[in-house]
Amino acid sequence: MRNKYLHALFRTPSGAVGSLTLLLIIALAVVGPLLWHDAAQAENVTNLNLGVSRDHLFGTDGLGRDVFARTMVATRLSLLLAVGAAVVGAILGYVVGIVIAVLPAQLRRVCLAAVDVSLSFPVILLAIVFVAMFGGGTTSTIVAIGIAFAPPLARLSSNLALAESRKEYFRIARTLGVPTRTLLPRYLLANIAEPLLLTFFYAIGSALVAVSALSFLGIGVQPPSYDWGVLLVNGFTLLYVQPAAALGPAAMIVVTGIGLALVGEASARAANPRLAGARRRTAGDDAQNAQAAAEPTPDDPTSDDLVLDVRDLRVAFDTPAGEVVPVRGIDLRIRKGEVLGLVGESGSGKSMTALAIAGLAPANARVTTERCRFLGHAGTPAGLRSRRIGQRLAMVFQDPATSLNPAMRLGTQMTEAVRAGGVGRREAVERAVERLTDVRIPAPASRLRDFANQLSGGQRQRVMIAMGLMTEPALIVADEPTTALDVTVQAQVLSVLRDVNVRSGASVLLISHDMSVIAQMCSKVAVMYAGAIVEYGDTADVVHRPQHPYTRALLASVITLDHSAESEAPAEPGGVAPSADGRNRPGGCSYLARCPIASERCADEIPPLMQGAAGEVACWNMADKEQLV
Amino acid sequence: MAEEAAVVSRPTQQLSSRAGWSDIKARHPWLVFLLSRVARLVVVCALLLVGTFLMVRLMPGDPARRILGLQATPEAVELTRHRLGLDRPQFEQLWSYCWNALHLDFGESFSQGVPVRELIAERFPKTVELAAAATMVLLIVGFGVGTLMAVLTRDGRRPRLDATYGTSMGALSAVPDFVLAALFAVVFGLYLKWFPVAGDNGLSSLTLPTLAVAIPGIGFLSRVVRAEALDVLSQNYVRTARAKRLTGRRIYIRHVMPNAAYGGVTLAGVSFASLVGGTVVVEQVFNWPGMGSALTSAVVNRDYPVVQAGVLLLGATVVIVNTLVDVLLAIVDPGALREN
Ligand code: SF4
Repeated sequence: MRNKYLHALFRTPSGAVGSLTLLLIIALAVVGPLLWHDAAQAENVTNLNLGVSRDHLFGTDGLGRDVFARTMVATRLSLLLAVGAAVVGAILGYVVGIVIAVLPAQLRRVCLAAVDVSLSFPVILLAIVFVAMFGGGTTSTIVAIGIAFAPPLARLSSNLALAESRKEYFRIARTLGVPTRTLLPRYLLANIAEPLLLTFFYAIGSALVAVSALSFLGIGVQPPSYDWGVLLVNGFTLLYVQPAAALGPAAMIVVTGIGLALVGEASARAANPRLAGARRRTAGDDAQNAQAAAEPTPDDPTSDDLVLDVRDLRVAFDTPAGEVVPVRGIDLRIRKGEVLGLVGESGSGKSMTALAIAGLAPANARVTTERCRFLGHAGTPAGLRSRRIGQRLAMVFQDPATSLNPAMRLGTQMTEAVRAGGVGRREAVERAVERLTDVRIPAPASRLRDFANQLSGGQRQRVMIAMGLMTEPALIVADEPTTALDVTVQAQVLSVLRDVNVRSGASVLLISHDMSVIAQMCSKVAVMYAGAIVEYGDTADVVHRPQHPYTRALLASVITLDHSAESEAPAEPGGVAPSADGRNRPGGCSYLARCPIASERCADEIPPLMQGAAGEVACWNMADKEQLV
Repeated sequence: MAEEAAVVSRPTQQLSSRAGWSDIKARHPWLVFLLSRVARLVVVCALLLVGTFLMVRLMPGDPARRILGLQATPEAVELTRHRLGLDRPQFEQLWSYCWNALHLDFGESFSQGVPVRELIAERFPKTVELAAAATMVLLIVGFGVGTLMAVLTRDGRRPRLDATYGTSMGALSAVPDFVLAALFAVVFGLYLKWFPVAGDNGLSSLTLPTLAVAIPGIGFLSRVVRAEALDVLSQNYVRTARAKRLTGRRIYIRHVMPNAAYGGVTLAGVSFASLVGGTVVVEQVFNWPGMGSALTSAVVNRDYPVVQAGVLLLGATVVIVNTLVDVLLAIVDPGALREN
C-alpha cells in the first residue's frame, strides 16, 4: 500500500509538485520558529509599515516587525491548529458515525436524519457558535472547528461502515459468532480505514482554511499568538499602505491548501485506480467513415427489395490494452417484410451490430463498412443520423424501464419525432392514439398524459414499439426486446411485434440470445459468435438441420443460454469463450477452444462463410458440406 | 438531500401499513408529502430555538461574568444576570425565550443599545442580497462550465483537457474565500480602482464580494454538474432520443436538461442555503453591512442577544430554503413523489 501511494504521488506531475510543496511546508513548520523567532519579535520604530525590500520580503508591520519572518514562524501554529482541528473532527465524527452504523435500524434513521440536518449548516456558522460559547483562543479554535467538522465526517463513516456491514463476508463472520470486540476493529475498521484516512487528509486542508478564517475574523487565535489568519488580518488593515503584508500570509495559506489538495487527489487516484487514466478516444473515425462513404457503390439489380444491405461491417475500439474488435466484418441483408433473427450469446457482438447499423455506436467506436445501403440510399450507418431516412429505421431497446424518458409525458415522447418532421399537433396525437391501439394499450388517449413509471414493464415495451411505429419505419431493429420482461409478458410483446410486421410490412431485425424466441418469430436467422456470423439460413433449416457445431450447442441448451443482459462492453475476457480481441487470437477458427469436432485445419485457417447444404456456414467440418464458394 | 428525504419519509411508510393511512397517502400524495416536510421544518426550528437558548447557558463559567470581565463589581454582574433573565428558573427562561423569539423579540443589543430586531431588519436583507447574487453567479458559471466540460470530454474525448480541468478546479477550490476577497480588494479595488473596496454603494460595491463568495464554489459545483450531465448523457432514454433522429439541440433541451434539472435544483438550493450562512468572512473583508459582520462583532463584543438572534435566523433560513428545495424537486419530478 505504501508503495502504491508513493508511486502514485510522484507519477503525475501534479502529485509530485503537491508532495514537494507539502514537504517544504512541513520543514518550515519545524525549523521556522527556530530560525526566524528573533527577527519576528524584533520591533523597530524606525521601520514602521515598510514596503517590500531586500531586507523585508513582505515589508514590515505597524510595530516595525518583519512580516516575512512572522509568516515563517506562523507556519508551525497554523499547521498544528489545522491538524488538531482535523483530529478532533475525525475522532468525533468517525466515532459517532460508526456508532450510528451499528445502532438498530429505527434509531439509526433518526440519528442519520439529525446528522443530515446539521450537515446543511455552513461550517463557519457552526464554528462561530462554538467560539461564542468557549471564547476565542487557540484551544477553543481547535475544539470549535473540530466539532463543526464532525457532521460530514460522521455521515461519511456511517455510510462506509453500513455498506461494509452489508457485505457477505461480514454477515458470515457475524453468524459465525465472531464477537463484536473483534468484529469491529478487525473486520469493519480495517476495511474502511483507507477512505477514512484519505478524508482525514482532505479535512486538514479544510481545517486550515476554517482556522485561518476564524483568526481572520478576530475570534480565533488571540494575540500575542499569531497564525497566518491573524497575520492576514493585520496586513489587511495596512492594505492601502503595504499590501504585501496581507498577500504574503495569504499566499502561504493558498500554497499549503493547493499542496494538500493535489496530494489528496493523487492518493485518491491511487486508492481508486478507475480514476487513474482517462479512456482514449480513437482519432480519425470520422475520416474513415467519410472515406467509406466516398467509395463507389455499384447498383446491384438484385438489391431492389433489400431494405438493408450491409457488407463487411466492422466495429473496433482502441483501449489502453490495444484494439478490441467486437464486430469483425459481417454481412447483413434484410428483405422487405422479412423478420431476420440474429442470435448469439453475451459478448458475441450482436448488440453492437444493432447499434452500429442504427448509427448509434458509442462515439469512441470505429465503425467501417464496405457497403451500406438502407432503402436504396447509399451511405454509412452514421449517415442514418439524417432525419428523413434515419426515421425509417426504428429501434426497440432491451430495457423499456430506462429507455423511456422519466421526466416527459408519453404523448410528447411519442409525437416529438413526427412533430419535428412537420406533422401538426392534432394529427400527431391522433396517430399516437392509433399506434397505441395497434399495440393493444387500453385507453390510449388517456395514456398519452402519463409518465413512463405509471406503466407496467410489458406496457412500456409496447409503447416503445408504438413510438417506433410513429414514423412509419421500413425496418425495426429490436435488441433483446423481451429479455427484461416476465415470461408471460414476453409472448404478448412478441405477438405485437409480429402483428406490426404483418400489418405495416416493416422488416424486423430481431436480436436475441434466446433460440426459442427466434424460432417463433423469424423467417431467416443468422447465428453470431465472437463478432462474426457463423451460420445463416432459413429458420426451419437452421433449427432442424444445424450445420455449425456452435448452432448445435445453442439449440441443445435452448432457452437457457444466458439470462443476463448483453453488455455493451465489447470483449468477453478470457475463459472458455475466446476473446474478441484480435491481437491474441491465433489465426484459426474462433470456436476452436470449445469445438468438439475440431480438426487440424481449424487451428491454422479462419473458416469463411461457405455455402452449406441449405444455408451458409463458417466451419471446416460442417455437417453436410457440399461445395466451397 | 435525496438520502435525507428517503430517511425521513420512512416513518410514513411504516404507518402506511394501517389501512386508513395508506388510503390517505394514495389519494393525497401531495398533502402527505407537504405535511411531512412541514413537520420536519418545525422540529428543526424548535431544536434551533432550544440550541441557541442553551448556547448561552452551557457556556463554561458565568455568562454575565464573561460579558463584563473579571474586574466587574458584583452589582454589575447581578444586573446583567437580571437583564439576561438568568436569575429566573431555567424552565421559565426557556419558555419566555421561545415565546419572545417567536414574536421576533430578542431583547436589546448589549453593545449598541438598540432592539436586536431593528438591527436584524437592517442587516439581514443585505446578507440575502449578497448570497442571492453570489448564488446566481455560481449557478450560471458552474452549470455553464460543467455542462460544457461534460460535452467536450464525454466518452473519454480530450483527455488532456479533462486532466487540466480536474487539476485547476481542484486548485480553485483550495483558495479560501477570504484570501480571494483580499486579493480582489487589492487588485480590483486598490490598484485598478474598478470597484469600491468597502461599504455598500449599490451594484458596484456588490461586485467584488459577490465574486469572492461565488468563485471558490465554482470549482466544486462545476465538477458535480459535469458528473451529473455525463450521467444523463449516458442514459438509455438519451439513446432512444438519438434513435428518433431528433436534432442535437432538442435532445439537449428536452431530454438532457430536464433530467439534469433535478440535480440542478438541489444544488441551487444547497448553494444558496450554505451561502446565506457562509458570507460571514467576505462581509468582514468588504465591510458589507450584513448579518455576517454583525454576528462577528457580536461574538467579539460578547453581545449574546445578537449572537443568538443571528444564529437562529441564519439557521432557520438554511432549513427553510432546504425545505423549499424538497418541494421544488417534487414539482420537477412528480413521478418520484408518487413512488415515494
Ligand atoms: S472450423 Fe473447426 S473449430 Fe471451427 S467450428 Fe468448425 S470444426 Fe469447429
